[in-house]
Amino acid sequence: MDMKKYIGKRLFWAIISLFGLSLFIFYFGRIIPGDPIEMMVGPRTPDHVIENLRQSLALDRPLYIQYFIWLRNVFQGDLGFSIVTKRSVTTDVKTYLPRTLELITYAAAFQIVGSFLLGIFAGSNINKWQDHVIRIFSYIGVSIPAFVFAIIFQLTFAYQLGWFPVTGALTSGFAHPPEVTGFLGIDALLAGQFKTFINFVHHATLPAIALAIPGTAQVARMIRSGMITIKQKEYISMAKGFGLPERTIRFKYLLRPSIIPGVTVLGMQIAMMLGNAFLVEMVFRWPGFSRHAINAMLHSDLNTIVATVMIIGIMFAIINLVVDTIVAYIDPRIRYGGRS
Amino acid sequence: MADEDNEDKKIHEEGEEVEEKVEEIVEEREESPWKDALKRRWYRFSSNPLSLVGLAITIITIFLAIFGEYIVPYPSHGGLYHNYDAKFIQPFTNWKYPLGTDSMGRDVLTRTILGFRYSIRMAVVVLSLVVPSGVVVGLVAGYHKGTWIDTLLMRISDIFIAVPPLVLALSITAMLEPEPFYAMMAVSLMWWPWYARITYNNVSSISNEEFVRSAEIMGDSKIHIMFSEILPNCTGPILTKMTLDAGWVIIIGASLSFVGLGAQPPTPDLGTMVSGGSDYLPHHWQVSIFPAMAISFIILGFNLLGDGIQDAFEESGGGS
Amino acid sequence: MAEGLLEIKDLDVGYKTYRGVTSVLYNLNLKVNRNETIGVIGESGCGKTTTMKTINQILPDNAVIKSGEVNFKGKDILNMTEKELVKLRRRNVSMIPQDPTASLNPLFKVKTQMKDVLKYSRQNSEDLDFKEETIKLFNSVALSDPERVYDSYPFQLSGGMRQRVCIAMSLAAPKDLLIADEPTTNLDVTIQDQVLRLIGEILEEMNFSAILVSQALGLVKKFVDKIYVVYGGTVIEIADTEKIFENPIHPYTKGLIESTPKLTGGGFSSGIAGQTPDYIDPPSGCRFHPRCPHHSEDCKTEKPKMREFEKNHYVACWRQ
Repeated sequence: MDMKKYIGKRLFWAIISLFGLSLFIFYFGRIIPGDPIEMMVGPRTPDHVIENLRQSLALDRPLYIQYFIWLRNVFQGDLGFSIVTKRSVTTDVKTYLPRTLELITYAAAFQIVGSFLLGIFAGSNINKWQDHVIRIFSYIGVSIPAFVFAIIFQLTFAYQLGWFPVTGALTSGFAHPPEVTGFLGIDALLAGQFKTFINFVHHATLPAIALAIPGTAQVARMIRSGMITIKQKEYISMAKGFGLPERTIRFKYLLRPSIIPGVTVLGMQIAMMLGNAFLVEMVFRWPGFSRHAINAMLHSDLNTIVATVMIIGIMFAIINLVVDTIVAYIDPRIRYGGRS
Repeated sequence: MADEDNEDKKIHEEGEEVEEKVEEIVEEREESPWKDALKRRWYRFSSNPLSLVGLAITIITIFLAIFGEYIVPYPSHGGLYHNYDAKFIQPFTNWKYPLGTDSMGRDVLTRTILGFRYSIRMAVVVLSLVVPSGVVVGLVAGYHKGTWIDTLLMRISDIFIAVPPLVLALSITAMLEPEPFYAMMAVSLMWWPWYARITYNNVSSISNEEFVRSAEIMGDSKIHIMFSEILPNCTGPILTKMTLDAGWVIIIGASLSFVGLGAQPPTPDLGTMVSGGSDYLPHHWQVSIFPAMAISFIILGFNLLGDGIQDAFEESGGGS
Repeated sequence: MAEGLLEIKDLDVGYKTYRGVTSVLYNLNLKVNRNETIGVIGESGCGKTTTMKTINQILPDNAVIKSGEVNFKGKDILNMTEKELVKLRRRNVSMIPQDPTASLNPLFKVKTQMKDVLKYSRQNSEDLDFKEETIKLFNSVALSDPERVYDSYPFQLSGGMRQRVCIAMSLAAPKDLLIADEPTTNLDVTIQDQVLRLIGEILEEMNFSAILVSQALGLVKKFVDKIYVVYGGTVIEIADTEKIFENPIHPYTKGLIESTPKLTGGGFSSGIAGQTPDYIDPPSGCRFHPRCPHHSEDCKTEKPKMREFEKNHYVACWRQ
């Protein structure tokens, strides 16, 4: 029950923050760049057309009313019109977002498995060669931006070695599977097109690893240093003093408190991938939402930009909520709201 | 009367002497723990050779950022210079252009070194805007923990943390203008809350401590307590975060340039160069890979240095 | 001659710190006979905890055992394999920790931790009803509401309750030697007396050998047969409990007795001027000499040997 209350509180504040964010981004978008109508229409549009458009889009009303109209539309699934693709932003989202989600899920899987294995392995072998190798890897991983990894991987594993395709999500010969969920991987499996699925995964592997590495390195470092910190705690030496076997201490009493900072950061890092996906998708010409959004940004497509911020904000909030739940599950002190 | 005066004077003088001595002793005592703390910090910092590597890299980086234009072989290659006869020279084949040339025949080494300045400028501008403002917000909110001031300030800062920094920076820059100035403003706008957070957390744990309470009882002003009593105790975490953030800000800056929302060609900005060069992959890899390595080099330096600073400020008790 | 259970010979232990390796324990000698309870007395920072942690080898990673022997039933603990040590901890030596709030893992319920201790320290524990055994142990340490404690997380319990849980853990299996390392220092004054009385009862009932560590002589005199006074990592006076109160020889022991607080009093209110020594650069000769009102030249140059003052009363001091 305490858990529900805790999560409920988190959810409440996440929603408040998202409203705050929508207010900020809406006002910022309406005030800063100049007249949205002029940006929408060509320079030689007759005045009466502009006036009509202004009225039909409610742009002649006070800003706060415009905000509520916009908000009402958003709740009805209408994110406005994109001046780049000349269609509804909602349609664009439906087209491109699944590709990005698939890529990020794939990368998150790499990240979770990789960071825990490396972190625990390094933390269990402090100052031995395994630890040093992992530490060097993690310094490199943290210091090289994801888009640089993307370029280096593309250059070596795609161009030079030819192990992976250079760009795209499917080789041109492959037909898209019939759309059921919108997720290419799942649809391919549903349609029994196993080869398409493999081809898709093959295309996604390099971008996913490039996306995953910086976070993997960061989380592995956190878990390693968490293990070092907890090892010095009195309760670990007491557990030893009571004669518990090394195994039980390491994998039970030491591990659980050690991974808490790592798990918290893991959520942050998965969320960071939402940002890095913008660049990695660009390098690999991945047909995802982020690459589409970059295009919109370069053309000052206001509705798409606002939609992007809100969608990513919502995904970010969901990831944080999941992480908070996991951390509260691991650490009862958070559930019971008491610390000592 | 005169005697009494003399007596008074004598006592007074003696008193002053004693006071002076006491002051000397106090000074000695105050100075030595300070020096000792510094020594201890340096020991903790330097006991990890990687921290020293980080310090060295950072010094080199800052040196190149300041003096780069005076030591590069071809200062004019930073701009629109072109020499199509010398374009796409492969690296390590021509001693005149050790790292090769780009599509306009410009020296990659020169442009990479010149790029350090833009990255460092980004970090310096953003941090000098973001750290003071974030710290002040965090101090004020943390000191007024539990009041409406706390709630208001921290909830506002939450809004900017509600989206990954890169996404918000991209979006805001896109709404403004794709220029380095706006990029810096956009990054700053979404970065201060992190300093508000970290200061807030430290302040709210410190402000219940004895010395803060006693300062309150002695009637010190709030401003004095916040800045002279509480703030110095947050230095460690803030300094660590600043160093690590210098790396992060440079990544974000490079990312903005990379997608075309930061510095525009022909500026020798590292992110812009990586992006421009990626069109010539795989054959003319030098154009984007060397600037990419430079970015990583700078960030590596700040990461190693930041970890060292964190070690230096970590309080770990020895057993007895 | 009583049969020796534990005998520590010339033990030197230090810690690696930023200023070098300390010398905390210095020629420490200590002996516990079967069915004997000794008290180890000294200010905090005299190496008492280090000695105790050396006995069951749970020193922190930066500790360095330089030389000496710790013989338990004739076998040197310092030469034992990890397997032998685990057996020693399960079957022979039990420890009540100094700080109960830090000695229980905050993430696991009391029942989980209790179960593991029982599982590994009891023989034939496969067919044990862990809950029943735990509740039995909780009753024996007078824990009120054992059922609730059983199903609680440590942070939901008070300091006194946590210490009782720790005591229950140390009693999980019959052992040869019980070490209680300042079991009450970190507890509220009102609880200290109760816990100490509980330990006294346990010692009386169970009849095992024990080492009771304390900062104050008065606290333990009711429970121990013999007293070891420790200063600067070495034993400076050994005597039967009554004798040490009747006739303390060492100036430090005298100081300790004079400044003994009321039975329930808090920490050690020092009646001796000065501080415990710096272990990086400890005083030469007798480590107590800088604080000793009677020190002579001999004290500065040479460490005094332990000499017999009267039967069962030894002292290490140059002063006759």
